[in-house]
Parts: sequence; structure tokens; C-alpha cells
Amino acid sequence: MKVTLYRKYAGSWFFTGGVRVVYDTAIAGASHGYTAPKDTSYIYKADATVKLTGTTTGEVSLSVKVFLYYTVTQNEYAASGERIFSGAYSSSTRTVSTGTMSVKDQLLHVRIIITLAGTYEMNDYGLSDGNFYDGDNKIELLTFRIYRYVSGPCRLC
Amino acid sequence: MKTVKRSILFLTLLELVLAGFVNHADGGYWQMVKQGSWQGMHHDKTKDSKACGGLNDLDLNSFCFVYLNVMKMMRR
Repeated sequence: MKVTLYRKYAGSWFFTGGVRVVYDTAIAGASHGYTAPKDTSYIYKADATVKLTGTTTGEVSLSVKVFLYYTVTQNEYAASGERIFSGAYSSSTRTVSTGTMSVKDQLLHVRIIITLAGTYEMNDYGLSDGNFYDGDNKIELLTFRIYRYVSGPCRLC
Repeated sequence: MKTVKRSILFLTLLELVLAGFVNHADGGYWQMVKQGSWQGMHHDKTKDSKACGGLNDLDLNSFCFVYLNVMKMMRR
């Protein structure tokens, strides 16, 4: 999707086509990732939970794409998932999962890309508090999780 | 003879499907190994991402990626 951004003044953007924001655990440091064990290769997946607050009435669509990757160079990402909300929506919470990948001895990180598409004007959007919002709508990034698949019956269940 | 062949084919396919199902549901489970929040993780600190309106992108087909690379080529 073509994204065109026009800067109006500090802290404010006008855009047509869409806007996207990227959050990445690697940016916050290695401790926010997960180090896969050296000895055993497991299958991993990740998910991210997003809460939408407010209601849209126009032609606005929201795409949430989640990646699980294991190189900080970001050239190699192994799995992604995507969920698209389109048209009007009201408050709801959604979880977006990635596909799976088999990994051994790597530092795993999660990246989420939020794309808001349509012709729309945002007077301001907040990023400093970890959320993405304008006056009426708010997209809260709640949590991310990394899972590994363990074969055999669940000993904790 | 035709019926026998069909039966063998059916049973083979059935076995494959069931084998796939059993392997998928081998009694294993997804164990959560990491949970965290996104607070303060927005990626808008690099020079390149600033050129894209404070955004960065993993999607190599994006407008930002093309824009940044064109800008890099022009600087050379």
C-alpha cells in the first residue's frame, strides 16, 4: 500500500493513503526478546493483542501485522501474521498471531506494524505513552507473547 | 479391480490425513516463554525512519523503503 505523509507542524501529520507505526522489542534492548536454547530446536510463534477504542464511521481500515524474527539486522524474519479490520468498527480487542518457525540458539524478537489506511486527518497522535491514537480513536498495544511448542502431554494441565 | 484400486487409494489418503492430524495433535502444547508490553518501543529514533515521518518498516515493498533507498542513491 502506498503511504504518503505530509508534515503539517510539529507533532501533527496529515496523510492520505495511510499511516503506519512500527513497534519492535529489539529497540528496547535484548532483554525484551527471548533467547532460544542452544541444545534443542523448538517451534515458536508469537502474538500481539491490540485494543481498539472508539468508533470509525468512514472508510478507514486497520491492519495489524506481527512478525517474529531472530536477527537484529532485520533481514531475516521467519513468520508473520496479519489481521485486517475494515470499515466501521467499535471498541474491541483482537489478538494477531504469527505463523511458526523452528529456531535454535537465537535471540527472538517481535515486531508489530500497524497501518491505518484511508483518507483521514489526525491532529495529533500519541506515541510517547506507547499507544497510537487521535482524539476519537485509540489503538492500544496491550501485550506481546512468544510461545514454543512442547511435544507430549502438558504436565501443568 | 477398479474398486480395489479405488479402495487402496482411499485408504492411503485417509491414512495420510489421519497421520497429519495425529502429528498435529500429538498431545503437545504451546508454552508461553515471554510476555511483555510495548511501552516505549516505538521505532522513530533513526535518521532513516525520521525521513519517513518518524516511522520505520520491515515491509520492503513499502513506500518508505523505496523512498529511503532513492534518497540514499541520490546522496552517493
